[in-house]
Amino acid sequence: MTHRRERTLTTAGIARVEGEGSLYLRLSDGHLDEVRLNIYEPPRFFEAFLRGRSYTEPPDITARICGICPVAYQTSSALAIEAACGARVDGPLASLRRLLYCGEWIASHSLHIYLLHAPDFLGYPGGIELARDQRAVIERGLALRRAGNAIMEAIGGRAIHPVNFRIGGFYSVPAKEDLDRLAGQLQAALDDAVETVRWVAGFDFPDLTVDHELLALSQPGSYPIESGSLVSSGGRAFSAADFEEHVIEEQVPHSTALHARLAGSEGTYLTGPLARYTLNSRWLPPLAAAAAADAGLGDSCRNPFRSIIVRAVEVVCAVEEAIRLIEGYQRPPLPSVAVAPRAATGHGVSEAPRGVLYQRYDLDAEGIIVGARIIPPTSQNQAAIERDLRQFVQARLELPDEQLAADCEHAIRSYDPCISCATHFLDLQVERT
Amino acid sequence: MVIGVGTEFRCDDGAGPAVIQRLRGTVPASVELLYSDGEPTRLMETWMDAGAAVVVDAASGGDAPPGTLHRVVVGPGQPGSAAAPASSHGLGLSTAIELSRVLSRLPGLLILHGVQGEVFGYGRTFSPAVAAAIDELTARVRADVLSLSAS
Repeated sequence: MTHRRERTLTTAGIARVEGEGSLYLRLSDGHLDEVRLNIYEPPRFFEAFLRGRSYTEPPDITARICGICPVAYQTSSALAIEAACGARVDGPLASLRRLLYCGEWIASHSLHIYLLHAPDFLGYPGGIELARDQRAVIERGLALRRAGNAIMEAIGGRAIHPVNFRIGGFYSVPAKEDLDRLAGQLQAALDDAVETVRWVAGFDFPDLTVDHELLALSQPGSYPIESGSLVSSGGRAFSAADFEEHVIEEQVPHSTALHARLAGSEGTYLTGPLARYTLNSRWLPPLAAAAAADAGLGDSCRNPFRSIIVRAVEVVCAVEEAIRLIEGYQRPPLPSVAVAPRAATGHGVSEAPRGVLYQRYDLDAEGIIVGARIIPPTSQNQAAIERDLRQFVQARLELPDEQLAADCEHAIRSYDPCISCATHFLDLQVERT
Repeated sequence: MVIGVGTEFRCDDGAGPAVIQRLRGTVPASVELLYSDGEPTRLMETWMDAGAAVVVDAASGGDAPPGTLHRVVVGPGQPGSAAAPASSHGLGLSTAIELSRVLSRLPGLLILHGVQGEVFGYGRTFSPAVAAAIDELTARVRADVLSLSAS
């Protein structure tokens, strides 16, 4: 007869994860029975909230979904509505959007690297303790984040929920000298970014290799940020318009978030830095490519813990791109192109810092939104994270609960889940029988 | 400056921004009225050069009943997280205060006003307890602002 005992551990919450959700682990007799990552997801609320609104409003409304990646929401929504209306934003206005998005990548990734993720590798409970011991390191991260925010303020009007972004372009465009003023700050940021790659490449990384199909945007000739079509490591290639044919969302009992899978596949897929890098590393600009090589990344990266290196490389990429775009900037003659409404459906995708962010809008002839769909990266990654946690926990069943909980938090933070895109708190429960 | 922390799409979490709206036109024009999503580095850089900052946020956790009003004055030496009500933001106010303390970026005077929240789901309406407390919260914040402006 087997002696059975039951033990439940609940931690007060996983700090350093932006968003809210919970993780439940059930273990019995040395085996992991169940892993459930529960994410409370806001897009359903916003999809309903958008219906009946004008086609001009989604950039301002969806920017409120996430304080960390408002530009991603603005960009995907604008691309979708412009596609529905048969308008196209290209040339210098498109470059300005890419520059704005670079600012968001720099700010978002720097926050995650320095205050959320690095403390895990260095044995600190959090960024505050790291700052207390290694002030210069945190100051470097804050300077990087400021450089990203400075770009967002110069183009978007402000860093949080930029107000200058609109369907068709911008309400106003900066003068060349306004952007040239950022040059000095960005040159310093480039040095800081390269140093950041060196710093994180020296961390010790747990062994974990994931075999998910990887999904990212592709913009041949450049690293994908603000637009592109979709490609996968499984050989898929499709446009934003076909997104919902290829990405199937299904309800699972334990979560308000839908689980996503790729059509024709029962396997999981992953979007975000690992996917972007693996599918697009050849398009990194020179300094970012050199930093990746020096860090020993190779052409692909399938260890979620090493995503901190990929993020650091992407910061170099974004700073490098920002400098290039500012050097080549010529003020567009008009801040926006005309976008007239029509009854149509449009689709938009862009690479949020956490991965592919898709939006669809159905408009009537007056431009009133009659349907909206928002699929953020975190909900796409939920099934993959659960599967990886299963593999990760299975190899650590003998750890005491406290250590197991800490290791799981570390693992989850590797995906940078924006669980306000998907949180405030992440509760962790381990049940042993 | 007065900083309202929170989002109007998360029910009681919108208390901070709602107070900012109510303060408009009722405090001296020299007082900056700002919004924040609670991201700690931005909060820190918003208040670091201020002589005095008043922050309004929804509170969660603890035993206080919904609608309870909190007021805490944060000094440079005292641990803010021990004295302040828990912010409704996981990576929020307490992190911003502690990080500012470690990096010597606290404002000259920092006053926190909080209202104990009850509902933080998606929506645009306050719980009855918070709705009933908003006017008094606004009045208390305004009193601090006017007192600081006069001094």
